[in-house]
Amino acid sequence: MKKIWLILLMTAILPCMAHGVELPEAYWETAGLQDLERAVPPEAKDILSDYNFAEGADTDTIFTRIGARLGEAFRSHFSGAIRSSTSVLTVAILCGLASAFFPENKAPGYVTIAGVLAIAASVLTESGSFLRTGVQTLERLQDFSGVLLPCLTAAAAAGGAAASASAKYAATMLFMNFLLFLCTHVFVPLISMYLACIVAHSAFQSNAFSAMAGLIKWLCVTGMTLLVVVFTAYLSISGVIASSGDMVTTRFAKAAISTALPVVGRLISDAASTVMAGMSLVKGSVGVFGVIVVLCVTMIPFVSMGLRYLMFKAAAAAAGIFPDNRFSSLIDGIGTAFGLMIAMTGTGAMILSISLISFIKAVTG
Amino acid sequence: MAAVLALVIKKSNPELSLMLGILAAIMAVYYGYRAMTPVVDMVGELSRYAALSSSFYSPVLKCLGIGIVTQIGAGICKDAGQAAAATGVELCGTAAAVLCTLPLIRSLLSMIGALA
Repeated sequence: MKKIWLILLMTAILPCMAHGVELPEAYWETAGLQDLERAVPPEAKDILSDYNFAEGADTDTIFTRIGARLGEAFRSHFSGAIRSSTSVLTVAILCGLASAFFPENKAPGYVTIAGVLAIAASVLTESGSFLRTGVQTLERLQDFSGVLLPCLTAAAAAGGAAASASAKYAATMLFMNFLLFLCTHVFVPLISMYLACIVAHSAFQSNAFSAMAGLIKWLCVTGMTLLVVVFTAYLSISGVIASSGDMVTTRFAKAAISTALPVVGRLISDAASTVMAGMSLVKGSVGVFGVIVVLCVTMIPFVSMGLRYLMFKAAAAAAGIFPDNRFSSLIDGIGTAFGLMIAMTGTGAMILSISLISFIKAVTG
Repeated sequence: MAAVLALVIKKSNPELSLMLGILAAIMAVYYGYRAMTPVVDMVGELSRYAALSSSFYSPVLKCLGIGIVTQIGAGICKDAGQAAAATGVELCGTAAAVLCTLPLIRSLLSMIGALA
């Protein structure tokens, strides 16, 4: 008879336990997922249209869509990059041919200066629009992180990592704001100055301009690298300090509940552990969602700027066949400016990605 | 041929010799321009493919033309023994070239201003 009762009891309990693997709605509501879904930028909306937070990411479908989008972006921007590099190469060829008309293959200075100015004028309009695209991408990332990070922080806090999650949230928002400020007020003007310096160096062959361009490039690269290094170090140190505090707090709370409440204390403590494990799942799912959104937002600017970077470097190598190396160095410098724009956008994506990965990988007691 | 003829008549009639030299230079430029037409067409095709506005490359072509004319003009002045006039022609050529590149300089400065 006891066995029959036991079987009946287990038949009633086991389906409930099996159902318990799927997290209840309250978990997702705690993390504020509805706001997150509304805040997804348009570039990522169709890729993540059927993303299921409860079941995790269907990586095959998502990566197939990302691959298709990447291919589409590559095809549409490849011809534009070829056109831009051909236009500067055309002027370089024209000036190279012009030099053949003059004694000792040396065209008068004004012909070369006209060529340099023509190349600069044809490229600067485009580079201006790419600088704006870079800043807009960072603004979008900042807007999205303003919704994503509170979700992750809420999930992490409910999972027992309140202090470390708050520290990471504060650090990421601080650094994203600082980066956006630096980009609009420092890096964009510096890249414009870099372009002006390489144009002036090619036009007047002044070493002072060349040295200034080198200094600006160094400032930009060092500034961005320093920002990422300081952010990573700050995140690591504050994460270690705060997470050890979280571990102690969590263990102390569990022990206190277990000992203070004589009969149900242990059960409540176990239930709390289950809630924490559930919120860790939510945190992981939201984190992966965030990483995919960052990838979708930055993918097209990276492809368009990266293709231009490569094409200008190739055009610089092709222009190197002419005796006057001013055109080659000018086109190479324009390619480097595109490289700096990629670095600027990449720094924002890197800061947000490092923060998301640190949220996902955070271990609580 | 013109150079040899000019040399032959230079002692007896230096003015005619100079005129012959000028005529030969003009004819050389004319035939040279006709020979260069395919090259100019190729540059035009490249610029059309690259969607390069003529406002960008036409100042370069104008400067090239000014450079060639200036060089010939200065050479003629030197042949006539007028070194000062040759320098004047070169100076005028440079001024004309700067004038041609002025729209480019203006648009470039406004672009840099807009970027910063």
